[in-house]
Amino acid sequence: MHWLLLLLLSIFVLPDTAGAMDAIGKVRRERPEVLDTSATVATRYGTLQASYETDFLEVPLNGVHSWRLSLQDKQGQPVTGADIVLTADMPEHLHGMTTTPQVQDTQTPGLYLVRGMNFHMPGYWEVTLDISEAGSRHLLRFNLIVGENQRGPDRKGADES
Amino acid sequence: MSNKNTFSRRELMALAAQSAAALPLLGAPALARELDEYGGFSGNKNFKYISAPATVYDFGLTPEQEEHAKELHASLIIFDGLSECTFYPEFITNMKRGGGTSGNFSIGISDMLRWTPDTVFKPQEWWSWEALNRDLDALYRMMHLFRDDAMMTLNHADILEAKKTGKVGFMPGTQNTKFLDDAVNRLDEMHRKGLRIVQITYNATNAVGAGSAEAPENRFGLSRLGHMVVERMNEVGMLVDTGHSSPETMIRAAEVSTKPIVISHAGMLSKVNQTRATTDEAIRAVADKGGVMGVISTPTAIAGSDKCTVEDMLDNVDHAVNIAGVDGVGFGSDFIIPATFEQILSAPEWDEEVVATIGEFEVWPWSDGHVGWENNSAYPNMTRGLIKRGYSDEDIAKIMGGNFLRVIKDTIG
Repeated sequence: MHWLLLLLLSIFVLPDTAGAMDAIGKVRRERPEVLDTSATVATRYGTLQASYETDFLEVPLNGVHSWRLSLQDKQGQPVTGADIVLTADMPEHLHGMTTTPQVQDTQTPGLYLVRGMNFHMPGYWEVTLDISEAGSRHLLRFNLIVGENQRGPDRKGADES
Repeated sequence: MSNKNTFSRRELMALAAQSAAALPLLGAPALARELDEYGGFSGNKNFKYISAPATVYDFGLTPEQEEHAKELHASLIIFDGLSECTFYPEFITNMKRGGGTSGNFSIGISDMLRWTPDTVFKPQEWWSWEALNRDLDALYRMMHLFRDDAMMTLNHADILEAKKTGKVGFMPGTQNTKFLDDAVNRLDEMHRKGLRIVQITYNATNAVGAGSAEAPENRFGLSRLGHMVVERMNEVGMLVDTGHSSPETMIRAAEVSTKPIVISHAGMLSKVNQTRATTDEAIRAVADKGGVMGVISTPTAIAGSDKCTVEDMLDNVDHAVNIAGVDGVGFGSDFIIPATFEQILSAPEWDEEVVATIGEFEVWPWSDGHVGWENNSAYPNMTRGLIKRGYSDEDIAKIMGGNFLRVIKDTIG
């Protein structure tokens, strides 16, 4: 605990010091007027394509659930053995999920299981995939509007995987 | 976590350093350190992108375009407006991989060879006279040690020599005028020692000018001392850099200077609204004076996100060209130890308790959040991307370093 105290002291007792340093943080971004919320996205030149599916008609609000994530290359072949780092953020609110989703390979070539997805607030979310495979690296991004037509936090229909 | 507790990586390192410094007082064990063969702690080998090659980004070029890009890139003089802020041998390797010729090598953040938390990140010492002298001495030692692969580039001719010999050029620069301590004649002495690029303010306002983090109502252009600093830099042959300054200070410095000035590394407010971005007006003022705007590479600054790709950087280059014209644009990577914060936190040098505490804070991921611009080996991606976007070979040569080289010739010699 003393570390936390020390750190907080450093922050609040030495403001001049902190102010002298680079202080770039995340940037709040408004929702674009036109937003592609497709469940399939591809890199600009089509090298890699990703799609997701859930067990639900709509991505659930405030419910832990899983995604089935498919990766295909330019020729439509499944991409296996990829190292995928998934992050989700709300650009309008400068925060991410309350969970840390885990991506794991499956027996089906090109299919990955993402456990622990939880969009805990309604609104505009960005899910970013940082994908490394076969010596290459790609960034893909899904845009989602979650729960805006739902009345509030509702765990019905979401699994606890 | 509340948003007001969002800190940059540098801030957190500094805070952790302060905490680490108090360790013995609390009876905790001191952190074990071993100097490396270079007399310091030159880079953390756990950081993937300290040595892993940058991603070869897929721009969908044809084989013919790829071949052309390869030939063109090999012919270019590539100057990075801010290549790095710390020294590690892998930096030279990365620069060579990327075909980098030279760059503004930023010194003065205490001791560039001793960057671990209990030794280096003492921001109160940054850019002091002592820190600059210590870093310059260390840099000359490193240039001797790596003389087969690296060299000081103290003027235009040296950069051409670096290109000719295939060595990596280091042009010493610094990011604040704190070392002056109001004594303008210290510029003369620093010039004699090899300092060539001086950024007149960092984020915070100083005695010379207003920084980018200054409140709009308090921004001024240049102080009287600032006028004297710019004039003296013109006289001794130093490049005036306003990378971290407020737009007002950039504009006034461009007006006062008799020679071109640069914005070594910054974003653009008209692209992404954040603290380290500047106005179109300031960029035009610098460009109209014959200067250069270096497009920064950090993801938040160019994409407003902690993850981006080199396409975002190219979008920013396009934007800068629309503002300043193709003669007024370059790039300034602003790398500082290519690593993620997560990688830093998992490095063995860091105390677990410090890591556990810092891990609660949201931070700005560094270069590894930028796909295709993870370290200095990524330069070919810029050439390839500019080809994809239809830039002529001549314009690509200007953006990749020709514009900075022109300004260096006009100012430093």
